[in-house]
Amino acid sequence: MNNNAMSINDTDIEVLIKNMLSPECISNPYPVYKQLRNHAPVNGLLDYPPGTVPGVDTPYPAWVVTRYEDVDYVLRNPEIFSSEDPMQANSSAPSLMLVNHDRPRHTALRNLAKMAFTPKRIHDNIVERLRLDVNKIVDRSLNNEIDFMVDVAGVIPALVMTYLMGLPPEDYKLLVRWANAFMVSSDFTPEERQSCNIELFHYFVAAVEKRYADIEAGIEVSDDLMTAFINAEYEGDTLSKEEVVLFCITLVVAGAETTTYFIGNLMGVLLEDADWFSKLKEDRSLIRPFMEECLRRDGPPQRLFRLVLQDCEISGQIIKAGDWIAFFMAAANHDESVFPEPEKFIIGRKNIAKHVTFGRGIHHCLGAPLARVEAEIMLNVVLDKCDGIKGSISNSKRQSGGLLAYGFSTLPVELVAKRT
Amino acid sequence: MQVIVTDRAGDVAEYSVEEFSDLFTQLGDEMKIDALCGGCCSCATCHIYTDASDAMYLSDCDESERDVLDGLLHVRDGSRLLCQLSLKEKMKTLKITIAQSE
Repeated sequence: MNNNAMSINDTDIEVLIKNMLSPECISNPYPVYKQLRNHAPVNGLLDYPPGTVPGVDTPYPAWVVTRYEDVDYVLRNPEIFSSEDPMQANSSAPSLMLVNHDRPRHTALRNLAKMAFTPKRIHDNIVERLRLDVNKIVDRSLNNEIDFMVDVAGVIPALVMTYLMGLPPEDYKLLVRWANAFMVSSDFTPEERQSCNIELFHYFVAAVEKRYADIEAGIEVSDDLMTAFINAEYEGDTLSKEEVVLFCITLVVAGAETTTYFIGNLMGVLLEDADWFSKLKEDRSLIRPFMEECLRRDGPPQRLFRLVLQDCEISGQIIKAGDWIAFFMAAANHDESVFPEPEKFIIGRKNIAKHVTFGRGIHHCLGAPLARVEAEIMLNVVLDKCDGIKGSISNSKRQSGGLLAYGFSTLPVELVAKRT
Repeated sequence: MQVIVTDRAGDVAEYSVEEFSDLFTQLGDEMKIDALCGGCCSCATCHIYTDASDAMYLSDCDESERDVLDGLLHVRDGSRLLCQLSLKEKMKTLKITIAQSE
């Protein structure tokens, strides 16, 4: 890494930071990250954490952290970089569980979440049911031009949320809309975004209230994640009713949109190079490394924020306690010093496990195994049922509403049915 | 040190490493473990089984490691997190088995 490399001057870098929220940068931020990696952190990004509403909430200027080493440092030092989000706390958005907590409450909440969010539950509640539903979704899409984002990628993660929390399956459309509004990466007016936040909150208040009432009345309730959150107990600690509501909301907003983009980005790679389809079809053991390289090169979550608790230094830049930083996992995943030829899609990279798309440290993504299961089922079903995919990446469009996620807003494809 | 690793598929491979952290990195790169949290005693994706007879050579399991192990479905005698492991006494060969995915 060359700390002294200055490809552009200070004025230019201010312009670069200012333009990070432009639709052009959001839809392809990697060239900008490349320039930013030549610099120590730069202050001044005015961006919006999840749940906040552009046009209503006022962003705090954030330091922009892009080098792998620096992003890793932030992720591994939660005692210096707090997950508390004052901007979100001052907005109309419901606050997120775990995501916005520090130790020691984070540890207590994580232990409670683990009691509910067990791998066995993920497996028993989801895998077979999802496989059946993905088969139906793909069946009805075969040999028609579809928008993969609307008809497949957008459906799977929200459906999974309805299974997990025992919600009516048809409500998946509501969840998609609310999650998209919350994540600040789709086109909504400020009023729509605010009303989505309110609707989302009230939906889960009502659902959780009903569940508590049913349990109290001795009515048999479904053995799902919502019930498990209500019953979770760890060393005498339990979740309050409000915390159960916020956990449900956290799962929806953290799991629905990001996984949708991940599933879409996998399809994008298949369109980019048609050889992948036949390679994966012939050798399914390539699916996992294929997914990991997609998570590295095209990982949807771009950046997170942290509040600095102690004066510190990042790549020689002094950062003061009280400052606000935006650190870009996606920029770290493209750091040439760690992943040579980062723009190339190369499966079997020796250090692929180092990608930081799911974070690292105590805030690593609890839903990572779930996202992988959803993506793997989608790929396997498409490979089982199809002879190929028609379409051109040039007809697709990346979302340009917010810098939080990298993914397609539209991805027209035709899934070509297998000849029988 | 030689470490004989049985992976989740039942395949056995031998690794020559200086520290367990090298093995942790290597198994992560080979996607034999997820190593999701990067080795900070949090995600339990590096859960392994060690033989009881080797316990005397291995670092003790501290409270934070015990807390994480307690939350697992497949925990048993000899369960450890590879990311937390170090040697108390020199040993030539250690056998470990990667626990099934949680």
